[in-house]
Amino acid sequence: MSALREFGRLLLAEWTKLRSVRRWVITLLGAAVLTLGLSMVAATGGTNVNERPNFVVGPDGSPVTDGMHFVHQPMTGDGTITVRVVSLGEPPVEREASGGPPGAQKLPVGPWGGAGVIVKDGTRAGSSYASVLLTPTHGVRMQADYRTDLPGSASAGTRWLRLTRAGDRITGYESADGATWQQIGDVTVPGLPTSAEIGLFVSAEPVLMLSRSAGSTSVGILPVKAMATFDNLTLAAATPTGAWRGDEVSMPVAPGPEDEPARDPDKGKLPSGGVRETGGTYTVTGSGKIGPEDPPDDMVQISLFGVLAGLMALIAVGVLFATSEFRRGMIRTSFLASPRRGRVLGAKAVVLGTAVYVIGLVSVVAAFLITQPMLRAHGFAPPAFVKVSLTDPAVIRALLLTPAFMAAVAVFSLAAGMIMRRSAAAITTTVVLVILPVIVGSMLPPSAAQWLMRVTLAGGFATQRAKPPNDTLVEPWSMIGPWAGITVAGAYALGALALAWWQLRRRDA
Amino acid sequence: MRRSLHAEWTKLRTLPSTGWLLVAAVAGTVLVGYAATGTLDIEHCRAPWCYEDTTKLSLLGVRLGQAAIVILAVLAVTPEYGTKMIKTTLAATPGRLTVLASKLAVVTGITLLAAVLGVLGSFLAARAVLPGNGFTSANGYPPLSLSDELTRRAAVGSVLYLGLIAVLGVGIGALVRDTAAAVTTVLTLLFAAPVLAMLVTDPRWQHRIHRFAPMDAGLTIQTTRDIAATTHIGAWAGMGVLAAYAAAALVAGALVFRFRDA
Repeated sequence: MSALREFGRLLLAEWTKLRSVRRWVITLLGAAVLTLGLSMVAATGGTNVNERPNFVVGPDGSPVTDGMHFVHQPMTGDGTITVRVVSLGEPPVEREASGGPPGAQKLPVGPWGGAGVIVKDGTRAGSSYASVLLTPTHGVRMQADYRTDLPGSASAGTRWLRLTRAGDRITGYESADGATWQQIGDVTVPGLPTSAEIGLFVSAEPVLMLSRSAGSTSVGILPVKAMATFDNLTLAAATPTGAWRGDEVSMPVAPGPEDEPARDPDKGKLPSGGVRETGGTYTVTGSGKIGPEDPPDDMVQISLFGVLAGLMALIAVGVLFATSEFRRGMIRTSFLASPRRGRVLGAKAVVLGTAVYVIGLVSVVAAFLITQPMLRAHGFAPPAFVKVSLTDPAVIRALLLTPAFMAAVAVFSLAAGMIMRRSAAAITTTVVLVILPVIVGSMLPPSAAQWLMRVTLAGGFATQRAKPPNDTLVEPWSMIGPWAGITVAGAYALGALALAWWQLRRRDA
Repeated sequence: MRRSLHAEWTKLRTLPSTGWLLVAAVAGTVLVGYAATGTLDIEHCRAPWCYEDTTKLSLLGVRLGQAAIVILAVLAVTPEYGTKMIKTTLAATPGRLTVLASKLAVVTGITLLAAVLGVLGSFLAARAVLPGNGFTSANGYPPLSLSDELTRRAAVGSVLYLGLIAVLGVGIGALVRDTAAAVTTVLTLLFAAPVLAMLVTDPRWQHRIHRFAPMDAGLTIQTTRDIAATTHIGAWAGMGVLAAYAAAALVAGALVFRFRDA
C-alpha cells in the first residue's frame, strides 16, 4: 500500500474517531455557538464617538483633528505665498510646563504638525485646506484636507516654502535658497471657496503618553507647543494685501472625563499660541495636530469577540482527542493498526485542524455578518467608523486568519495532550498560554506587553484585527500585526507537534 | 470523619501529580510576581503623576498559581469517576457528605499552605528586586511589609482567594464528574471574564463584569493604592462574591454527590 493511501486511510480513521464521539461533536458545535453568541452580546455595547462635542469631521466627512496658530489674511482668487522658515523647535520656557509625567513613555509622533504656509477655508476646525510645511522629524511635506500627505525633501533646517493657488489647484514648492524651487506636489482642493484665508501656521502633534499606575496602563494625550521663526514673507495676490492677524484654530473642548486622561494635571487646558513680529520676522507659537483622527477601535475585532470563548471549548476537544486514546488504551490499537506513530499524530493534527478551521471560518463569517449591522446601530457608524465590507482585503485577512489561529490553538492542545497524556494539565497549560498573557499584558508596560504577545499563543488574537497595530488600546495583542500573531500561534502548534512526535517515538504508548 | 480524612490525605499524598502541582502553584506565583516587579522602572512611573501599586504587582502571580490549584482541586474528585475508584471509596465510607467534606478539607488545607508559601515568596522576591529598580523609601516606596495594613490585607486576601479557588474546584468537580469538563469550566469562569471586561466597549458592562466575575472581584483585595479609582467593588465584598461562587458550586456539587448514583 502506498504511503499516500495509507495516510488517507489514517485520516479517515481519525475523522471517524472525532465525529463519532457525540460529546466532542456537541462541544465543537458549542464552540461555534459560543463564538457567535458572545460576539452578538458584545455587539450590543455601543459607542457615542459620533456625538461627542470634540468630534470634528473634515471636508470628506471623515474624522479629523485640527489645531494651529494661524497668522492669516483673506485672499480672493489666485495668489502665491512665499516664506522662509528659519527655525522650528520647542518654545524654551514651555518645556517645563508641558513636560508631563517625567519618564512616561512617549510614543512617536507622525508627520501631521509643523510650520509652514497654508490656504484654508476660514479658521473653523475641520475646514478645507492645503499647506506646505516643515515638520520636526518628517522633512518637508505638502498636505491637504487632512488625508493627503505628499513628501518633499527630508531637510530639517531652514527652508523656503511656497504655495500657489490657481482656481482649486494648489501647488507646493520648496527651496534651500529662495532662488531655485522644486515642486513638491500639486493637489486639487474642491472644497476651498474663492475667498479663503492664507498665511503662516505653526502646529505640533500632541504626544501620546503611556503611563502605568496601580498595575494598569493609562494613555494620556499631552499637548505640545512648537515655536517657529519666519522671515521673507511675501504674498502675491490680486486683492490688496491687508494686515496679518493671528488666530487660534482649535478643537472644541470635551467636557466629559471620558475623553481626557484621568491623571493629566492639565486636563482640558490646551496651550494657546501667539505671534510676534519684529522687522519682518515672525515668531509664531502654536499647537495641535492637523490630520486624520480615526478612532482606534477595530470594528472587525469587536465582531469576532466571541472567538475567545469558542477557543475554550476547542481546547477541551483538542486535548481530549489526544488524551482519551491513552485513557482508554485505544492508542495501542491505533499504533497496532498503524505502527508509524508520527503518521497517526499527523493524521490527528490534520483532521482536527481542518475541522476546527471549517467550524471557525463558518462561525467568524457568520459573526461578522450578523454583528456588523448591530454595531452600526449602536454607534459604530460613519463618520467615525467607515462601513467595513466582507470584501475589504483587511476583513478577508482577518476572517481567514482568525480560524487559522483557532486551528493552531486546537492543534497545540492536541499536541499538549499527547505530550502530557493528562487532560487536566494539558487543558490548563493551553488555557493559561492563551489567556493569561492577555490579562498580565494589560498590566505591564507597553514594551513588555508587546514582547509577551510575540512569545505566547495569545499573540494569535492579533489575527482578528483589520486595522494597523496600535499601542494605545487596552488589548495587548493590538500592538502586533496579524501576520506576527499567526506566526507565533503557528510556531507554537508546530513546535508542540514536533515535541509530541519526538516523545511518541521514544515513549511506550 | 478522621478515618475518612486520613484516607483522602493518603490518596492525595500518593498521587505524583499533587507534589508537582503544589510546586507549580508556589513557583508560578513567585516567578510571575518576580517578573512583573522586575519589569518595573521608577523612571516610567514617578510620583506625583503615577503611583505604582507594588503590592498588587508583586502578587500578580496568584493569577497563574491558581491554575495549578484548580487542577489540584478538580483532580481530588473527578479521577475517581474515571477509574471507578469512587465505588470503593463510597463502599468504605457510605456517608457521602463525609467523603466530600474530607476531600474538601484536605485539598483546601494543602492549598492554603501552598498559598502562604507563594505569597510570602512573592513578597520576598519583590523586596529583593524592587529597590534595584528605584522603588526605594526615598522615592516613596517603602519595602513591602506585612506590618502595613493594606499589604497585610492583600496577603491574607490572596491566601484566602486561593483557598476559595480550591473550594470552587472541588465543587465543580463533584458537579461535573469529568476532569476535562470541570477544568475547562473553572478556568473559563476565572480567566474569560477579565478578558471580556477588557473588550466590552460599554463601560456599564465593564463595571458589572469587574464586580461580579469571580477572579476580578476576589482579587480586588490585592489593590493597595488608588483604591477608589481603580476598583469596582470593596475588598471584602469582592471576596464575598468569590465565596458565593465557591459556595454555590460546593452546594450544587454536594447535592449531586449526595443524591446521584456514583
